[in-house]
Amino acid sequence: MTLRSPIFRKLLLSSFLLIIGTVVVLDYFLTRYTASREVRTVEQLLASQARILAGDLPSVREEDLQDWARRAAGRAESRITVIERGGKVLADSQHDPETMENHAGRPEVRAALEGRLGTSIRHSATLDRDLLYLALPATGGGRPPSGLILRVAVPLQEVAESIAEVRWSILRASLLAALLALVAAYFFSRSFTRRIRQVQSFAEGLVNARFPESLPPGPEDELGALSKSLTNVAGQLRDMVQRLSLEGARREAILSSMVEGVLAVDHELCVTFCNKAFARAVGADWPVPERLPVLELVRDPAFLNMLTSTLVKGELLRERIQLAAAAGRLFEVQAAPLEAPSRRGAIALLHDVTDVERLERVRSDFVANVSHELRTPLAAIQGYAETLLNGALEDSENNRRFVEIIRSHAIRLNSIASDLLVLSELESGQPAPSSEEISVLEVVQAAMCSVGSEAKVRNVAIHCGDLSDCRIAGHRIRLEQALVNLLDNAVKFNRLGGEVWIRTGQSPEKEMRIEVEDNGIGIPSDDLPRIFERFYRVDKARSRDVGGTGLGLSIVKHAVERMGGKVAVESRLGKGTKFSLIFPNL
Amino acid sequence: MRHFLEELEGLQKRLLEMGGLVESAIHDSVVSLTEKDEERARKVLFNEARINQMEIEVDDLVTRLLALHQPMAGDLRLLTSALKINNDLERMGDLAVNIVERSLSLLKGPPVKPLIDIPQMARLAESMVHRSLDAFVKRDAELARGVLLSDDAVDELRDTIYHELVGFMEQDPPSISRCLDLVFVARNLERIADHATNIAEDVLFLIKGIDVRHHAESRS
Repeated sequence: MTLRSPIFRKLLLSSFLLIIGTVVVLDYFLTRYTASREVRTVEQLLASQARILAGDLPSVREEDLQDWARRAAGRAESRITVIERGGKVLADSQHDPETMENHAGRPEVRAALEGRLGTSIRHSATLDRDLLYLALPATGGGRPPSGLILRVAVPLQEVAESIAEVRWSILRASLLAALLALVAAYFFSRSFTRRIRQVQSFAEGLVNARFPESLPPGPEDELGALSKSLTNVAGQLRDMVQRLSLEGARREAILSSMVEGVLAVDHELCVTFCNKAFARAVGADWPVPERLPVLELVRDPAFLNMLTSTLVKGELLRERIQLAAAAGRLFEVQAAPLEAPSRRGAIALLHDVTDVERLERVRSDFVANVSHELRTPLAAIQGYAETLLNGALEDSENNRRFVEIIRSHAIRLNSIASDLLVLSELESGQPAPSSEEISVLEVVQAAMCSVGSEAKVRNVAIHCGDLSDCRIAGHRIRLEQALVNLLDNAVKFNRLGGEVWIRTGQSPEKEMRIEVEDNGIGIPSDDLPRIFERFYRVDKARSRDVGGTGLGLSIVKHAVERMGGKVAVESRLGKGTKFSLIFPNL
Repeated sequence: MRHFLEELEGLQKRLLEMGGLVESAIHDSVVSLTEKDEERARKVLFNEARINQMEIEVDDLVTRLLALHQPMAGDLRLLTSALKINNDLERMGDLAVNIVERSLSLLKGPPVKPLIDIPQMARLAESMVHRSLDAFVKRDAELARGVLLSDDAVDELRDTIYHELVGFMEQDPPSISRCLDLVFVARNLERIADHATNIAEDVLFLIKGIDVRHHAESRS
């Protein structure tokens, strides 16, 4: 693993080159120095030999020179040559002086002729080796200079050998040192590389938004400081990411939990954001795909025009729009421009106001209805009163009849007023009069009594079904009133020979049920949700004929609900209607 | 190539925009009848021009795409379906206008009877139109098939309304012209529903269609 690391290779290679270079340079200079020192040592040796011998030389006779040279050479273990001033060789321990050429030109001889000590190293062709020559003038012993030069020579072989020895030991020592240094370099490079790679992989982790374990601090150097800084950065990044994702999650949660629908679009009318409520309202799947054109979500021209308007003019708009995509429900739509950093956008808020609108409509209908209901009998009363005052008082045939008409209208107004009072009391949420335990059977029987005569007149039969008695908690009078209203409707909105059934009993869910069913004219399905509204009538003409106030079912609903129960209705146009009152058991 | 895809996207958007206008027109035409709303009626007449203009634009666009790009398979089916849907939408717009004309005529006189079945029929027809367009957007075969199944209920309602109105006309001859207006409204609604089923069929072809090339080859 480590060998593949480029920095490891670099470190190792440069250490290697450095060590080798140093060793080579060291070896070279050390060897050269040692060699020259060796040579100088030999020179000194030779010089002392030569001086000693040169002292003897003047006392030797010329014809004895050769013998002397040979003997001296034998003792000195070197080659001895005697040369006279002109350069002619007079004696040589190894060669015949007659055969030797003039040596005046030789550098060591020349130096000696000048009175100095001369040395030279030359390769001897005859002997095929390097020789060290040392020459000096033969003086000394107090005698006058004899003009002779003494030259001593030794082969450098030994010198060379000892130099070689020295060189080898230097080499061995430096190789050992180099090896040790290389091993140290290897370990150092490896540990350094390892630290660098740790930092590198940590940094890479940061880039990929992974937050690995923090870096071990390591030694206190620049690399250690770098590690510490990186660890800090990692910590800060992690905190920032956490904070951002928390914010994002919070925002997402808020937008998802909103009841209102939120839609954001960009300048090309493509969806940039859509919350769950909006998708649900328009019947789309959530989440909505990226960059979906708004047209694929909502086609309503009114909605699209609002968005376009806001986008183009940058103004706030508020409208009530019925969305076909939402099965015709009514929405209050607010559109506002969205100033994104790059381009314009728009945001639309949907608020379902179908129910609000319905309530508004019910209220205004109610007001209209009340005034209408009141006006008719009042107009009649006023009319007849004026007629009486204008002379009908004296008309004995009609005067009584007119007054009776006035009275019946007044009674009608009274019953409307009292019904309204009952309703308002029921709706006001005032605490109910203390509820008592009621026998359902008793109440049903009482109600049947009240309605009995009307039923006979219309030839409608009331049948009692299963009338098991049970007891519920409630207000007796209210319950009786509710039942009377229901029975009354069942009889009045019926045909000649029609039938009405009353049943009481326990439902499987342990609830008390009272059912009033008829086979009368029934209620259209459109009107079914609205029949409990005040003054709501399916067929206005017929209802007024039979003398209704239009409030009967409202009273039933509120009375039953006040007692903790529910009222349900099923009906088929032309077939009949069934009302069910459901009460929780005691 | 990317230019072609962009153009296809633009075509789809155009059709959807047109669909929205048509849905809105149908809805407004029925409301103008049930709520006696003259303003809504006028609005439908006013917007008719835009729908007709869009029909021409879509036709031109499709023709151009066919000529320039000579598409195959899925893209070709999309273009031919677009032509048919375009046609159905424009016809529905016309039918909405017809309803509005009847509505304006009915506004002037007293109501014949409480309108119960016609609003019901209108709701069904509007739902079919809406679902057929949704099926087109989402390429949803289930949704498209659902539209086809709903057509029977609409036809039944038209018959019911027809018989009921015939009864009225027999009993009360002065009401004949008003009853006839209602009969025509019912008929227009039934035809709107039929166009919705056409669109649903086009969508089914678009999703699952046979390769048009093979058809041509087998014929030759």
